Amino acid sequence: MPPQHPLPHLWESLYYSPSEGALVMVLLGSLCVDLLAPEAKKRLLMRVVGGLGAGAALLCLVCMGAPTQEALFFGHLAANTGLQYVKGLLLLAYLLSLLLFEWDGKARFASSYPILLAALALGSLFICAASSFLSMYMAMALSAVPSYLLCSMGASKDSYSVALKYALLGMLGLGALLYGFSLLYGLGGATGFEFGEVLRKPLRSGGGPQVLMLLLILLGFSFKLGAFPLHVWVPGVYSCVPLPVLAYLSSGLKIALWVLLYRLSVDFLAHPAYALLLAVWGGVGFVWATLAALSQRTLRRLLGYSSVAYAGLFLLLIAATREPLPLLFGCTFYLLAQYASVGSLIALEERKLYHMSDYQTLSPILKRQVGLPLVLALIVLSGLPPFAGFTTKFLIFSALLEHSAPLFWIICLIILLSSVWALFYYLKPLYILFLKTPAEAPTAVYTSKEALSLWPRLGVWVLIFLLLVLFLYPMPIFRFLGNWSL
Amino acid sequence: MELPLLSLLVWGPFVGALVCLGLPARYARYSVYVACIVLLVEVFLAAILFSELHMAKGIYAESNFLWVERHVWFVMSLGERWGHLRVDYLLGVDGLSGPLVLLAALLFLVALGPAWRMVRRPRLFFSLYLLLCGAVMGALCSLDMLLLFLFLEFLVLPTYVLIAFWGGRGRTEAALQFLLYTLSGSVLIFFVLLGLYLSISIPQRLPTEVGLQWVRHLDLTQIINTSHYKATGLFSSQNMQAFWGLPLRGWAFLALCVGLGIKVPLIPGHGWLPKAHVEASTSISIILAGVLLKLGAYGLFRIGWGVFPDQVLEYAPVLAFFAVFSIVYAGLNALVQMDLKRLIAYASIAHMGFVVLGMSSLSDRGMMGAVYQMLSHGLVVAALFLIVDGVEQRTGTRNISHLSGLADRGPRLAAFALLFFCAAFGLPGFSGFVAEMLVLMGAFEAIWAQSFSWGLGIFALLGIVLAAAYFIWAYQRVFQGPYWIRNAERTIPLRDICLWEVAVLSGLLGLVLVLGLYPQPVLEAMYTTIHHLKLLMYTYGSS
Repeated sequence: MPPQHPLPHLWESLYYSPSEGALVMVLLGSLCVDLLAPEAKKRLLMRVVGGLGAGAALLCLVCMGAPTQEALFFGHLAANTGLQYVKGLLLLAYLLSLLLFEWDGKARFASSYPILLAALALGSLFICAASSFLSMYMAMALSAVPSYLLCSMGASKDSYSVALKYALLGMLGLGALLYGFSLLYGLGGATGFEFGEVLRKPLRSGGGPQVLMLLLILLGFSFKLGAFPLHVWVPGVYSCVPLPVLAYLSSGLKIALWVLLYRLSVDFLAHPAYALLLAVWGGVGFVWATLAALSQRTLRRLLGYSSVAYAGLFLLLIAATREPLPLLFGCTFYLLAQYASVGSLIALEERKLYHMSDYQTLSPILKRQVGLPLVLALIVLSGLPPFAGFTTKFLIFSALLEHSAPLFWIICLIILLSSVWALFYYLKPLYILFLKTPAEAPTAVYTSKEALSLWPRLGVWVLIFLLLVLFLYPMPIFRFLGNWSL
Repeated sequence: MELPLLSLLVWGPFVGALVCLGLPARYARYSVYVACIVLLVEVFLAAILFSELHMAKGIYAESNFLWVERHVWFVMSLGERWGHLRVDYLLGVDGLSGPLVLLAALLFLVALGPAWRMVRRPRLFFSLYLLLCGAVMGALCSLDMLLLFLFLEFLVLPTYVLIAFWGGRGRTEAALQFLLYTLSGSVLIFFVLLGLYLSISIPQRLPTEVGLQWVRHLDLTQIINTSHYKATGLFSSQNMQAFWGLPLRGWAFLALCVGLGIKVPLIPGHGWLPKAHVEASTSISIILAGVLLKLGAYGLFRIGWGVFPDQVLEYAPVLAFFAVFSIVYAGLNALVQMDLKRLIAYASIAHMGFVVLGMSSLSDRGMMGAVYQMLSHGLVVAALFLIVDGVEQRTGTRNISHLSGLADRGPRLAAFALLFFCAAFGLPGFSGFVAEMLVLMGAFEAIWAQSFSWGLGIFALLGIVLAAAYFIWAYQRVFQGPYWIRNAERTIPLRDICLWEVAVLSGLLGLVLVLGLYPQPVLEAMYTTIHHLKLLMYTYGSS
């Protein structure tokens, strides 16, 4: 719902934005550290500043209590219970990424990471809470620049070219969004999210500008989400970007965008034709990504296509239901699952045991240390029980079948069948690590029996355990999220 | 407080699996003992349960089931439009699931035999084996449809790994085929489950809410009641909405039959089975044929027959047709097989065809015959795989054309082979005879038999003739004639079967004979449930 009562006083707006405020302070603090602290201690100090800021923001979010639906900053940002939860998730993702930097020593300009990551997280906080096209565009631009820069800092020699491609496509996506919003403003004078009336016009008059506007906005979102058809940057970026950043890009930023699209689409989905358009877009994206993932040979690209598929799945959810609970639960699952899978990759890449190469070269000798968590993380993503991925898919498919349009049922069936062949790529590492006999396995890249770091592996196990608990005992989180609005 | 017998049955193997995994590497060989102890307890608990089955009263209410355990798993508020979703940890047994629980417990214990000296990663093998056992028990005891589905899905993963890691040369392909086929079937079942969940609305008091709430609840004891469906519900019998000329409820039943038909398997959904049987290790072949196939038929009975009685009444002849086609087609295929395991695999498809034929007859006799056939086939097929394993262990081959005259050097093995081959094609005195007789009587007295004349029953009789042909012919080629083994890498001084093999096979033979000569206790145990299932068909179904 759009904000109802704009708060006249700026201080009250600030009161409801502790997370944004804290990250701004983190950003400033990190810049000061970068200027003043000795080189050797920069990395540690920045992480301390980031951790303290995010921790304080999380504490504020918990202690502040649930705000009612409020418009902040003169209607440019929104605050409600659901958004508060999403912001908590984003801060958690930021904290986890900060922690993961400890085990990512390969990247260039490592001391600049935390500053850029804080900017990225701040951008995503603004994205999910944006209430006008102006704030939405600003938030997207704020998150875009740090993500391009972070991408260029990967250890791979291709990082620069991939970052350039990412930036160029990003400009294209942002440009499409800007053109879409300009058209919208020109057609109806709307700067807020209440543009249902404008969208209903083409169906009556048969005019084209509205359709063009809609397509431009959807294309812009498609780029930012890494969803079909503008997902072409995903495999390259996933191959090069440092893993802690990858974790945030693939979970935090996406969650913020899904929530924004959900809020944006209240008016947009009022007409069934647009809901169908969104559903078909999501469904085609899911099937396309699933097929493309089958031929991938590196784990990073595989995760990339998995994220494209999930983008399609969440678009379907947004098209099918106005209940916030499935989306909030799905976002929680997705965040934990992404960090579990990326965490297991960090354990794998930590000592250059395996780096962006063909995952067929995974040595069976690795299975004791990282194999099982990696395989379990992929099973979680595949949506098989007994993990929360199954619950999420259950909620999504229920939403699809609940819809009155038969096309939604057909899409549901197609997605269900696609999920079966998705198992091919999710279970391939299991086959290589556990089922191939050493004689059949290709040359191993890792033969040392030296133990890998305990903490990232332990972290992955904790996340997998949480996902198991979310499946086995979801009552508390359902109760927690049950009555919240978004 | 009543003993949570079913929870012990379901979760005992899971605990055993954890114990196996937690054993230090130097004690890895003891994992088989852990598995054995757990499975002995399982058999004991299942026997207690079986002894009380005659007290089961039907399927219409929770109180009619035995050893019921109900705990709310989760309740989720989905807003005003969607109401509440409730999923319960609801376990219970009746005359349909009880005998199968005992069969599963027995077969898991019997199948330990060939794996006793497992040297390759025994801890992992036995923990997966116990996980599989727990999941099977869970699927058989669940009375909440979502819980049943989750157990059905969960058991796919350990089975996949057990085939792919400890099987023969083509094991990975076989495991992949198994995975793809069964998961494709599961997708369709999941589709039905979702549709049912959206169609149901039951007024209930929830522990978390005040007053009566409309709850979506996949409790199998309640969703057989048509009054619990919303009139506009997707799969409600009052919903006249049709898709390509078929009502949505018809589509749901069709999807369910295809999904579970792959697990049974009914031809043409059988592609995964011969390869999986051949490539899996003997223990897993026993479990696949003896237990997992039964879960497909059980699912059809519990969900298809229990929830869609009107559709069963309408489409029973079609199912019967596919069943008879499976019997004859698989029988003809079995005739030309050269691999003994593959022959048994096709024989299993034919036997499961009898199960579906009995179910489709919609008569007391036919439906009881179907359950009886599941029991009989489970016991017989376990013995057949043990015999084939014995042959392979001693000769290094399972190829029929490479073997001759084994009776000369292994008379005990040959004697057991002859007895179980006879049991498999339903010779009087063995359990298969009672089962097939009941199924055929049911098929001849089925309501659709008049319109179809007796054609299907007569074709099914042909299946028995074919079974006799392929089993006797195989016995003749392998065990009779002069003794020789072609392409033997070494001169093999053939040893006869050892004491433990004699003991296990004798035990199985005893059970097959008892079931063949005195079927009354088992039939009594299942009668009430089956009868109520039939009544459901003719009351709800016809209305």
